[in-house]
Amino acid sequence: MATTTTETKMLTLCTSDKQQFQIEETIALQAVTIRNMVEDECASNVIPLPNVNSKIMIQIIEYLKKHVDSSVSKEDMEKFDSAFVEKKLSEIFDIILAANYLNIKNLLDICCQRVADVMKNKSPEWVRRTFNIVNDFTAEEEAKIRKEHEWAFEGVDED
Amino acid sequence: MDNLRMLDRLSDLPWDILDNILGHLPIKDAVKTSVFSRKWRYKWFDLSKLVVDDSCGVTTSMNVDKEWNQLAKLVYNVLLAHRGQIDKFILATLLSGQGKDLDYWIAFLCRNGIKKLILDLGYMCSMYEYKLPSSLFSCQQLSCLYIMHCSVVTPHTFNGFSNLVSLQMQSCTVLNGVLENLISSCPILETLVLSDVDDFGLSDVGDFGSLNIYAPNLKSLHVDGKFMSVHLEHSLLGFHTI
Repeated sequence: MATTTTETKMLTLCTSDKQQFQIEETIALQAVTIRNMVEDECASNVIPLPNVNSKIMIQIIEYLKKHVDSSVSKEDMEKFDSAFVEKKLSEIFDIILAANYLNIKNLLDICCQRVADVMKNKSPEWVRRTFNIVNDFTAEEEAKIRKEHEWAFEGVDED
Repeated sequence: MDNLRMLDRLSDLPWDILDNILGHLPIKDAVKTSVFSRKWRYKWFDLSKLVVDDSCGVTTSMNVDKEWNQLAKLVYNVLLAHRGQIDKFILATLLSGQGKDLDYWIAFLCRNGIKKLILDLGYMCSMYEYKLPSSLFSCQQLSCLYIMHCSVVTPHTFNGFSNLVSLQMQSCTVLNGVLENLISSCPILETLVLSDVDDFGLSDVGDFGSLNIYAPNLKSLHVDGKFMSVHLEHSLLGFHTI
């Protein structure tokens, strides 16, 4: 798109650990939360992001930089996305919460998809172990619930 | 670090994020979450997106009827247990089954304000395509409709889809005039995909006539198949003959 100014407008983002990130406005505005702040002019010079730390911000900026580039083909973008979510689950959860706060829909979706892929066709025992979910049902209660939807518990992958 | 690793971050996520995650799973996996813990007992009742695919049937059986019955029973159970809004329903199956079951589900979903409906079907009733029920055509909240292997006959009472943004038809059967009327009755349609659309075998290949598309807000169009030509009237895409 043609711009009238030759100078690229920059925004400064300040993370929860007080690190400052200078990034191009067009990159930052993909985050709806930041866009709203800029449009409402609540953001003067530095935009505070108290819910995002610098470690996660670096990864989010990497994602936003790629996605602002309109010359990237659909296939390449999909490749980038699937490589991007190849991270530890703890990191994925951090990015999910940050993407939710910053309102970056596609980033949130691909991370949710990643978590879903981990759970897909696995036994409840396996999912509980993987995500540290504490089973607080008694054996009888659990058996009763399983009985209600027997079909759902058949044919899962080996743990 | 060990302490951190023991955190149950999944269960602690806000509901809209969990809803997003579970919406990426076939309903079979979503139902399984009910035994994770007490917190999870009824979560799947509130899902806004239901995905029913062939992983939900018992695929070990060689009896196709039995498989459909299994899948149908599951869908009835889920719809009955469900509470709250269902925004999106995806049915992707290669099983041939009872169109009647589908009629009930669609009527139920439309009454409850479904927004996105995706029917990715094989040949439902063995040899025949599934004919969309009239209940669908009165569903005003519908914003996205994707149908595969269906036949489309709009009822006389059809008043248009005032909120439909995306319409995709693949390997569907519809009369030319019905199709034109259907498209022009969707005032805010932005995306239209017509792939391998047939008119009940009335015309020979290459003789499907021309298709006049009246969709003033159209932004994306894909047409392939029998049409001799496609005319776009008053569209943002401009005037094209393909």
